[in-house]
Amino acid sequence: MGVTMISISDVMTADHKLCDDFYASAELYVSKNDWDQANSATKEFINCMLFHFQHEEEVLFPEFEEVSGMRHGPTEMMRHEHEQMKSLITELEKALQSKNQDRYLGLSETLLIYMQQHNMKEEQILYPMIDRDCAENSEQLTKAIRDKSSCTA
Amino acid sequence: MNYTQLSLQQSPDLWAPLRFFISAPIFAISAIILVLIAGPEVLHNRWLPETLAVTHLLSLGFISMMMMGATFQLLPVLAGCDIYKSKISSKIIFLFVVTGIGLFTIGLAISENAVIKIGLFFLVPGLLGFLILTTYALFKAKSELASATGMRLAINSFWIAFLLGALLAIGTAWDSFPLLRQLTAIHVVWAALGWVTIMIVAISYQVIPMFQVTKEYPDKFKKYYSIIVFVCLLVLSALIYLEYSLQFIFAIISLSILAFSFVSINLILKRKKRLVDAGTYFWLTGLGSLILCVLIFNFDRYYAGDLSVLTGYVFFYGFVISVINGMLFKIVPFLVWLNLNKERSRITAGLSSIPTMNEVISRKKMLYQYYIHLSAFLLTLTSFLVPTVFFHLGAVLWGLSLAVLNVYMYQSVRLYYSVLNRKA
Repeated sequence: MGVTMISISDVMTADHKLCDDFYASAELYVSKNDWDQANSATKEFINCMLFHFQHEEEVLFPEFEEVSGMRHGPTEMMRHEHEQMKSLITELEKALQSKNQDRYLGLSETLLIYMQQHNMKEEQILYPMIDRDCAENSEQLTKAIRDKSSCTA
Repeated sequence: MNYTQLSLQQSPDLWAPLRFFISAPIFAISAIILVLIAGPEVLHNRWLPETLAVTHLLSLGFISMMMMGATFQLLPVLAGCDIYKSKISSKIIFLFVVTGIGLFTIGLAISENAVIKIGLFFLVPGLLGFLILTTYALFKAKSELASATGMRLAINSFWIAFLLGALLAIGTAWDSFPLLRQLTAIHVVWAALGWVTIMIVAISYQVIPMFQVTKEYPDKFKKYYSIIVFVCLLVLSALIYLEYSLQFIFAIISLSILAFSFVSINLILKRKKRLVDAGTYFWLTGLGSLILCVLIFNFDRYYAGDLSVLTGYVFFYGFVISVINGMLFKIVPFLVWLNLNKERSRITAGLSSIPTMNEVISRKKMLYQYYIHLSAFLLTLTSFLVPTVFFHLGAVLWGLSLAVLNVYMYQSVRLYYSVLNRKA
């Protein structure tokens, strides 16, 4: 493994945690029927998720696929799971617009479990693989991710 | 590292875990009926036939069945490996184990060796099949993750508990075999602290951060905890067998269990997900009971007479059943949603027609069941002190709590098929 201050795993895992934070506050506002706050917290959460998917699909996965030669392996599965989560996010936005609390909390809970299971696979299996296989380009990759619009922007 | 791990199917066939989940409460309800028939005496004598039957209806019929179902579900997610032909193997194992547990526990309750023997003819191959397949799957997984290590140690513990249990059962049922009663304590230790506790710990590493959105368990804790407990159990078994003093090793095990409880409670109390649900309450009740269990156990050892049934009760019902009940409320609705989502192309109105987790079992319904569960736990706990007043009420509420849990699970399955059958 290359000598880097911050690994790709660290950067991507930090993004997951940030999405969790936004999720938790959005869910709490919805449960209190505070729809103004819920609206902005949900948007922050959704943006964070979509940026993260973009970082993976446009920067990280292509690089890993190139280096490992695996185009139909784990990254394909992760892309598929991203699509599933995007569908849930679309439904979540609809529930937010119609201020349907039950529907929102049902969808958010489902999305949460799906997302956590997905994150677990990435953090425990895929990111360590990427850290190892893309060690040489690690600094470049983390920079590329940072240069793209980030969750915190 | 196995590159294909992530391309494994996300979860096994819906019925591989579900058949265990929806049948297990029936054994627990049978245990309660038996408790009611036998009366308060079962609370104070662990060697009564009814107490032995109740213990095995709960430990094998409810807890082990649930954990076997959970193993079929969680092995692919937690350890990145699948059980060999899980669709068919889970069915065969299930049939053998269910028949075996039914007959074995009836045999114990009525002290009829012939029935125990027939039960063992099913139970032993059923459990053996499960153990061989999970051991093989975990061996193949080569995963170094803490949860996989914990699961391996839990399965190893199940092997030991199973082999000792089989020896004890054979000794009970066949006159030509000696009954090695001194092995009972070692059998209980491996079943309760090895198989059940180490497995719950391994699962907690993943599901507490996942369901409650907490920080991770500390790395060193995850890495060494299960190994330390496993080694302690080996030492404990040797000391019990050699009839040496157990004081020191019991102190270490008690402290380890307290450490797990406090670390977990601390994580949950500092969770990011502030919206409380029944799952949070079930975890806190379970972990609180685990602390209570350690206190009662140590009080019993140094001051009291025989509180072994009370210790077992707080462990089984307060800790294990609470935790399992809480996890089922996450796992079953998620499985229904996940499997319907997989079949999406076959469902007419697309994603919006698929019920969300809360529509499978609503938050309110989960909370109702939690309150019944908690009342039953506290009333039965009180009945150890004042048996005449609370015993029957506690047992009836306990039965009600499990019946309601089972009704929710049947409703979830019915919902799954009603949505699925709306074909495109």
